[in-house]
Amino acid sequence: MLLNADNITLIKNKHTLVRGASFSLQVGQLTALLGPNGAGKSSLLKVATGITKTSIGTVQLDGADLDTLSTIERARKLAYLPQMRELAWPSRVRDVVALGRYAYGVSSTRSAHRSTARDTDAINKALTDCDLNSLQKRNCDTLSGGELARVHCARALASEAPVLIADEPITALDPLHAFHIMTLLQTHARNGGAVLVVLHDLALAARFADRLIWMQQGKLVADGPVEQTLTEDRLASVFGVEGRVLGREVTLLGPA
Amino acid sequence: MRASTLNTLLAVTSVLALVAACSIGSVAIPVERLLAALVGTDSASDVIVVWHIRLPRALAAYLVGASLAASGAALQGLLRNPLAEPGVLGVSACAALGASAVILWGAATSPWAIPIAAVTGALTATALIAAAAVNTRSILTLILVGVGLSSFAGALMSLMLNLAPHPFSLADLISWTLGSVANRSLPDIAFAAPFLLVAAVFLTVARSGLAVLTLGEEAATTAGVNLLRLRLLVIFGAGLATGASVALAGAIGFVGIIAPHLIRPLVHHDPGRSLFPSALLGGLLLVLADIGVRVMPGSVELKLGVVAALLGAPVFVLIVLRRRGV
Repeated sequence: MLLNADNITLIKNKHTLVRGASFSLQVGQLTALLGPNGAGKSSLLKVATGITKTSIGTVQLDGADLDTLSTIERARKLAYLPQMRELAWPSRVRDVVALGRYAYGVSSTRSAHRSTARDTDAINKALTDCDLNSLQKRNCDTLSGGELARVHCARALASEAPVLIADEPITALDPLHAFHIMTLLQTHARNGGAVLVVLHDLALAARFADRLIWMQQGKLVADGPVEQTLTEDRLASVFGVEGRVLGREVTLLGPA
Repeated sequence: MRASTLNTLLAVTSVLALVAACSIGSVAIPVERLLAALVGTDSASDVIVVWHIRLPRALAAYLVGASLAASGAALQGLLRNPLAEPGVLGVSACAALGASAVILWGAATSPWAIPIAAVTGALTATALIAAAAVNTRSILTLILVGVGLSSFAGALMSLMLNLAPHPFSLADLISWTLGSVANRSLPDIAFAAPFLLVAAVFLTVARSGLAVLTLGEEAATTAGVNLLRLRLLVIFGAGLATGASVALAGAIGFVGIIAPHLIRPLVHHDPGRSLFPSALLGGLLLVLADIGVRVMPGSVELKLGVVAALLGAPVFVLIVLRRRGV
């Protein structure tokens, strides 16, 4: 168990965004977090990543309390792909991916020989895995949305952090690029990582995830393997839509 | 271009510009006489002209340009916007306000008074902007906070002029707020130097974090950046550098926006890597501008700050217009 969240409750400006959420991320599993807009998914991710402090409850990362870890220690164990991914500057693709190695002391302001072979390997592998080798010298402002999504994904993978948490990584991507990113996340889990990803595409979630966590109005309402938790009743109660479920196939028909 | 090549190129050009600044003037001093004067073995008049007039002036221009450009580059990295700059954000105005208060009320009994007052003013402004930055995602809001700070500092400055005790100090003050490095001495530089040194250390340490901040604050934190520490480094670094340069030369605008703007494409838009070459270019630009001010014909010498604003403001507007969105 790489990440364990226990009884997380997040209260902001007197609004309870997350109440009593407990879940854990297992090695080798891709877990999808599902729920309608405003259910508190992003808030839950921010607590799980340590960006926001939980009001009540604890988060343990690889056996250590998240609050006790330094930002560097945390970054070596957990990588995060936030929802807002606009770059401030039109940086070079390879430079952006290399930022994923910051926690290991790699920095653009130091000379290249200070980064170890392991750093270079991690950056090269991430670039190759995300199919960015031909783009690595391009500036990010010349990339398409799908290419940029792969750059961010490569940045997160380059950190070699076992836990990977992504907030809607495939929103606004065409089906092929969405498949590509989901495959990358799945491979990361298969190689000994643990992945938690917020998705709005239920069909892709059902297809790629090992486990689904359903969230509604700040609470986790179901947590388990796709086959067990993906039901027509749940689609109606959580999303308010009528759908047909056939194993891992899901078809949405309209409002329930 | 490799960063080291760029830095070497700028450093060599800077030295040449400083030599030119010491050599060019109403009395031309050729390079061999200049070298002799620098080691103090030549005619007394050359030694006085070089050591007491031209070198302090050129060094002051260089340090002020470098500090403002480095502050600009660091603030741009922290606020993730190319329009952030000590002048635009009101940091220079607050520093000038602090220094003016000391000058006007004759509290400048110690040579440390003006630098300390200017640095205090600048730090107050950077801290206020950083505090606003925590609470807002919008860079437009921050720029407007800066405009507000600038106006408020300007209003307080007017109030002080209004209540000024002696008309004599009034003229002094106005001339100083225009921004100039004329008649600076080596001791003036020495009193600004400690602040500049600390600022240089802070900003140098901040560089790698600023590079990661390209990803946004949340991604940068989870990538291992200690945001609070980074903010403090930039606030204190930019505040000290801007305060000390205002103490040295008054308010000189736009160097902090133009130098980083020119450097950024040469370092692949990496805010960390842009810091050092921006400082070198900022220094170089102000030394060249100051040579221009000195050799320009006419009975009244133009103030460096006036020339910088005349050239800088249109460039600022161009940068704004060429940007997509804010």
